[in-house]
Amino acid sequence: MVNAIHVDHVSKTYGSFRAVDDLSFEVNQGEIFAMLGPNGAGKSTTIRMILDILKPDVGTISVFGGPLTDAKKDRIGYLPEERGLYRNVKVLEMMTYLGTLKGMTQRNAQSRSKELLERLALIEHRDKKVSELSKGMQQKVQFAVTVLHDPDLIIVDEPFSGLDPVNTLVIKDLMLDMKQRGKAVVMSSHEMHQVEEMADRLLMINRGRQALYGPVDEVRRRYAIHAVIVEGQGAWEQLSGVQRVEPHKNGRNAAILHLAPNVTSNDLLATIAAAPNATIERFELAVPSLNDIFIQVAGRDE
Amino acid sequence: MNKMLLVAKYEYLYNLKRPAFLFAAFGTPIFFVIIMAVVTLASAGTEVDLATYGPVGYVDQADVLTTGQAHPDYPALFQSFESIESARTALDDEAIIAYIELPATYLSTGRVNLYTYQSSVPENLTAAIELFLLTNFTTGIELPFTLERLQEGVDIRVQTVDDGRTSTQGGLFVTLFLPVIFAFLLITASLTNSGFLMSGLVQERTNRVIEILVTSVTPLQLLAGKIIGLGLLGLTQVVILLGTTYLGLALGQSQNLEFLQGVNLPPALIALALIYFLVTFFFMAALLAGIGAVSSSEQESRQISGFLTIPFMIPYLFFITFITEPNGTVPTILSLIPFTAPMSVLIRVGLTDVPAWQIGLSLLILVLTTVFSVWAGSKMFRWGLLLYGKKFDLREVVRVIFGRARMETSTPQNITSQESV
Repeated sequence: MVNAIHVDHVSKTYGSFRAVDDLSFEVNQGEIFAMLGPNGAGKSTTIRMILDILKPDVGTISVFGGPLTDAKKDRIGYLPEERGLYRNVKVLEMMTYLGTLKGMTQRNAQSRSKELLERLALIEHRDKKVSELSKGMQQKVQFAVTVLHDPDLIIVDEPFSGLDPVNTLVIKDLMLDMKQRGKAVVMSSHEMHQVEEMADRLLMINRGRQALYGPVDEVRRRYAIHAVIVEGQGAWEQLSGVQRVEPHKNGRNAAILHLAPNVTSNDLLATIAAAPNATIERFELAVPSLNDIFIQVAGRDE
Repeated sequence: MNKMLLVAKYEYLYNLKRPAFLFAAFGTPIFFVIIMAVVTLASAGTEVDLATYGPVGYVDQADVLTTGQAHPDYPALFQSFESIESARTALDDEAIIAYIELPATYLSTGRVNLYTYQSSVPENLTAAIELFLLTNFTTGIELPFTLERLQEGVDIRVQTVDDGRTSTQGGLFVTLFLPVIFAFLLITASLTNSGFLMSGLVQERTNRVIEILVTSVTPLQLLAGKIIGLGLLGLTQVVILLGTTYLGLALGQSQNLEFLQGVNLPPALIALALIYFLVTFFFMAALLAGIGAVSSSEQESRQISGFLTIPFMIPYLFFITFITEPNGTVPTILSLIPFTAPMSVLIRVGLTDVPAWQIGLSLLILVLTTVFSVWAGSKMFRWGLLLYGKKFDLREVVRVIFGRARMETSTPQNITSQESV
């Protein structure tokens, strides 16, 4: 099966500013692919180049196995970070129009719009103008527009910003549903826990360059430190095999125990179990969150 | 359906429903029809049934009504009074509704005084008074025609020799100025609709809908669709305008409004006006689309477009020159300059016989400029479409039009704003 997206040694320079620098990656069908990076890292520029809004200076980008043609545009859904909707047009009318621009028939676009509005609990607002909707509702409409034509590839920039937890869940379900049906989902997000939870693979860009690239689990393991996080009572410093103890910054009563090179986490668990006055409420490997990795990677180049 | 046509259809229907369009399309014509109706009703309202109208007294100090012979149509309308005082008394006692005084100087001045408590004098009473006087003047004379014919005097038809338009003397003013007003409305419609195109585009950019649009259609499909949709909208407006003009004329003429008698709009003039309308629309639509695509705010684009619209009205500054010397140097030059040409030619055509070569040359120059404006406009459009928050820089725009053809849609200045959380 051909890749949904194949970016090959792409660079883009604005004047003397190198926005994207020799970037290469692939997005497969049936996966959720996360693009991460600090502000100004080049994520939006990369997305725009994939969508042929911008042309790269160097390198090639292929979508569904070749250059992006007009016919292929109908197979892509795009949710721009700066939301774009007609404000003075009725919701259903606008969705139908944007659907037909993606090659749908008028009737098809209309029935599918109603279906999505139903699913997003917006059906009673279909004859309201977009400007009359709340921000969260507009966000949902925007997402509905993105998936209206059942594209094979969606590129969503910050899909959860401005959504409450309930609606976040609804959108998440829609995205997972797309993945299940073999579609490719590219999401750019600052919400690391969402990426951690949903994404199969990730690309982290920093200053236009690839900082991290690979399966989410692998990336996290690569940044794992030789330590465990424990919560409970005990004289951790005195346990054998523990080199150093530092308080865990998020845990109320948690600590990070750095282990000696020859000690495994299983050894430590056994030691704690044997220790007379130690009780534990939590015991886990100190695999860093993507957030930690993100800060670590982004901070390294500052 | 072709995506360009989809865009055209959407733009047409969306703008059709806009209050600004409805006002422009229907407001002026409705105003015109209302004026016609009011004038018609007002003149109709001053007719009264003189058979039941109260008697009118007369005091003849000029000694011209000695026989006091009544016109057969109004046998008992007029009553003679010996003096102003007795007539006045009768008026105060409501025995008569009005009285006329023929002063001693009547024969040399033709002046008659009418006294009444009524707020207005019915138009047919004036006619009846004239007939009454004429009846008495012509007593004993065998007339080869009716008295009414004598009363009407001469009916002059003015024939403008150049294009065969006819009108009465009263209609001459309208005949000359109707094309001028028509030209004004047409060119304004053209400018208004290209203005719609621009503001729509600026809004799409501020709303960022443009990002959705350009990932669905090509910039050229978008631009062409918009121009076609709004061009058809403009034509709709013109049809409404023409329809109501003809309706107003027909209405006015059916009511025998003197100033509209014989007024007509020759088809050749309308055809020429339509050609100028369309060319002007394409000229401005492409230009304003380019400006809409590169300006940073709706306000800025309005300022620039307002600046570009002013030259279209320059001919009105020279209106007196146009009337006195329609084929003079200034009107001729203004007919050739692209911005001033549409108005100038249409005004002149309404006033005089414009040499065909001038119309031809004017159109040729305008069409060439339009081709350039479409070319340059579409370049600016493609280039500026996704440029946000950047100040309008004329030098950069010129470089885009004439310089590198490469499409550059973003700049480092706005990177941070694009990627802000």
